[in-house]
Amino acid sequence: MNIEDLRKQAKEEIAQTGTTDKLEELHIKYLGRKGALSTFLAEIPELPNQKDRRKAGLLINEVKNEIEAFLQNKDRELKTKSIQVAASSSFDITEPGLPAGLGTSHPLTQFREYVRDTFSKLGFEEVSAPHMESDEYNFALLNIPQDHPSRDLWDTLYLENGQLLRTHTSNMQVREMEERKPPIRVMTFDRCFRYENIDLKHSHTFSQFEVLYVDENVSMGHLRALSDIFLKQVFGEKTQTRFRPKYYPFVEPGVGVDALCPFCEGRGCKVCGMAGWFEIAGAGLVHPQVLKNGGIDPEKYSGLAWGFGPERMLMIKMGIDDIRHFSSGDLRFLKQF
Amino acid sequence: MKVPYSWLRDFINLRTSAEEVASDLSLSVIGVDSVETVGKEKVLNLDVTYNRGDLLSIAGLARELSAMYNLKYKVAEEVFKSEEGLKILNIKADSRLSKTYTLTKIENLRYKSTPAQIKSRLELAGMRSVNLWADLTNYAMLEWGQPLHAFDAEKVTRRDPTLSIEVRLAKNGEKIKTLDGSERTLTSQDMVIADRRGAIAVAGAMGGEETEVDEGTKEILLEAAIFDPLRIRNTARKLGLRSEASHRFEHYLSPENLIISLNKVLQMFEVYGKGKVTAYHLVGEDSIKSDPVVLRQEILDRAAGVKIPVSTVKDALKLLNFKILSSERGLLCWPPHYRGDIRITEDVVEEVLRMYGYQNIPAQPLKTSLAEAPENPLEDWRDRVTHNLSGLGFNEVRTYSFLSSKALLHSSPKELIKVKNPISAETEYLRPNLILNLTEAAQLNVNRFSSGKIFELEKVYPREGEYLSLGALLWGFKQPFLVLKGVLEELLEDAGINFELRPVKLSYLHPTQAAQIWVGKHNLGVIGALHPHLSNSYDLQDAAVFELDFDILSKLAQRFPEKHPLGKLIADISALSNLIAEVKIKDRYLKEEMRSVTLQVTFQSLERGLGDEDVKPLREKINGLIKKNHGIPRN
Repeated sequence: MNIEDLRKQAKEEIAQTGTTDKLEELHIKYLGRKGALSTFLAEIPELPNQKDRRKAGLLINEVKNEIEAFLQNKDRELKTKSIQVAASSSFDITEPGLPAGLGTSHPLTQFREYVRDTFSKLGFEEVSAPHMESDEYNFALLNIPQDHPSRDLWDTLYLENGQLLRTHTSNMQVREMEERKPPIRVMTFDRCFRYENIDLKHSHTFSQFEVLYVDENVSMGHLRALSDIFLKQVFGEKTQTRFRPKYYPFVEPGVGVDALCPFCEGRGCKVCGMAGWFEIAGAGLVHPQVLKNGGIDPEKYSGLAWGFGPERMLMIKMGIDDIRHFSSGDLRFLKQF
Repeated sequence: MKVPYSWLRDFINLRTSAEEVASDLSLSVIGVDSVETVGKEKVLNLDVTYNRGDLLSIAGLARELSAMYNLKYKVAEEVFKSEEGLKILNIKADSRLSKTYTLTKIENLRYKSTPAQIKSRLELAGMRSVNLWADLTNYAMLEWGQPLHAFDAEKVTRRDPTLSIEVRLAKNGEKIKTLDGSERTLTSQDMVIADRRGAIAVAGAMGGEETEVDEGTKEILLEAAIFDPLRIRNTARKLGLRSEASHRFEHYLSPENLIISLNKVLQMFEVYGKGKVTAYHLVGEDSIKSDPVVLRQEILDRAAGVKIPVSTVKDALKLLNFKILSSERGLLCWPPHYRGDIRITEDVVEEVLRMYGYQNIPAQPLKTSLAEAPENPLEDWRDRVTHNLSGLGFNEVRTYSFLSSKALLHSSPKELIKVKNPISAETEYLRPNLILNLTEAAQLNVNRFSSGKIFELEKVYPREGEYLSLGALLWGFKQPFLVLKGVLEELLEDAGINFELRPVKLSYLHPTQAAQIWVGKHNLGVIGALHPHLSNSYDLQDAAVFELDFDILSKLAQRFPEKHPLGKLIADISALSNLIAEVKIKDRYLKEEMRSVTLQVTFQSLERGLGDEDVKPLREKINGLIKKNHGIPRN
């Protein structure tokens, strides 16, 4: 092939090219280090006289410049065209996207972070206490002596190693009091266990959230404030809270905390079982004997404990009808969160 | 406790409906589970808590309602007075077993069937009618809260003509046939009522068949007593004899209320059975003298968070039948005899506050002075790792803390912590790790999801003690070990942790694709493909799992891994000369306090080849920079 043919061939090929990738290939084919023009260039030194060599050089250079120009023009043309194509294309943006594969954290974990955020703003520090616990911290030091009928409130799983599976997160109370000096503001969100058969609403394994606040002049008014702040946050501004007398041996007074049903605003509906209110939390002022057991002078300090069952609260809030979903490991459930 | 509403009206003129009463009770006294309609009757179902044993009676509830609504309590509470000429009975009762023990002999009884109203009230309250004598004692118990037991006096006299009754502990192995026809074998922990021939009743739990009252009974020996609540509780539980009576015996009972109850039931025996009291004897206390509880205003105000007027306090306590007296120490408060739960100031505080109305206590913001909140790496890393794993496409599961019976087949029970009183085979052992639970969770999903990635971050309970563990499992991926290893690498890289893998043989991991994860001297956990015997047993294809000790991980993890001062050093080196094309970390590891880092510096020029004369001065400058950043250069 002579150089004129090459020029012609290059021109044609470039003209027919429809993509920038193909154009890049042609660039290499003709102008690359091992491209077509370089073969002609390599032949120059073999020409017999200076004049021919010079002439050939100029010609090759001319062809090179020309091919470069073709390539550039074509490149410009293709880019312009691609913009036109994009402008005139149609696309259904409402079509669902392709899955990106984000996983999920468990609803209880998400709720835990949410609760913790709220209470850490109020100055509460997160703590934890053992699941396998001694009778002392779970019961005796909380004013629930051995064989005491009030133990009927907690159906307990005992271990062969002499410990028990804690029945509530309140086993952290005396532990934290022993470790700290007032003001004490701690919270925990963790797993507890009861001797309980599993059904829609009950499980032998469940969570509790609990705060303990010990300081000078801690009052039922503080309990009300905590209840208001948190329950309004969970169930919305229209929620109201109320206290009822409730017996827990480690608080005095002890109260149950109700939230106004957010669905019917107290008129009574299916969700709240026509009650208009949900029993949602348990609370009270720490019993002076429990303060003493934790090494705290009840004359100088008072304390409050406040807690609830996260599963139950989530079930109400999110309309989950079966507590077993939480531990089912069923991805159809988990992937919804 | 079931309370027929009309029965309450014998005591007070309630003006509101049963439903309203139930609602008011639950707001200021005690929980009401439901209000049932039975024919024309309403029955309140009270959830009586241990502290309020006094509410296990119609009278007790009426006393409370009378305080709550400020309504007149209509029934006179008269005590039984032993008349002249009554015979004395021969009773022995250890005060540790029974603080008050009374027997009353009623003679000349004439049987008839139980009046309809008594029968129907018993049934509404959840008891069944037996015979007139038993019905009268049960009726009085429901109304007044004091359990009573009737012995057929003639049957007892036939056994022991001296009629010597004793409250004592049973002998080990002592036998008695109880009312229900069962033969019971007792231990020295159980209390019995005995004559000189042996036990005639299991105290507080059930009478003996041999001395049972029936339609032919002409003489009754009526027992009204207060027993040691804990012994009653243990015996009743052990023998499976929990009853309305034993339930009440487990709570606080007062001698004063006993004597009022006795008076009421004896009146009923006279009215319905034409009986005549011929003998009576009381052993032990007939009343309890107690010191007053002192209520200091500042303690009350502290608990309320608001000032409660003294007059309000006094009115509330008077309505609740407290005797009060102002003193320099504070308000002296004597609770009514039936309130055994009132022992300390805080108990009185609760009484005042619930009468004052919890709804009247205003919210009081928490003080703004913050307690010190030190960093909590465990919780911080818990969040971060959870987010990272879900970002990597893992779904968090939360499985039970127990090993299922199936998982147990793949474990050695001897190495596990055992539950003494399991609910079922599924709660017999605590899980020592997460791997089997994760495998089980994966199996549940495998039919619907051909591949999946799950993790759990919860406690595990090996014999050495519980700790927080992180387990992750994936299935349905080609080269699952390498896929999961990639996850591990990125997770630990994010936490600034360098690890090495050492091969390991474990029963649940693949024979060759399994390793321990080591960080310096710490064994952080294991990673491996699932052992074929597990993947077969759980139908899991191409599965791999890792499990890390999260307590250790959170201690080793660095929140801002090596940005300071290493980041600055790298920036400084890069800026030294335009001959330095790239600076990157090739390797790093932690050893005690020391951190060792290998930096790779690329020298490059686009214009010319570089020689030693170019690189050497730069090398010196780099060493200088390392020293300036408190490092020790090792070329």
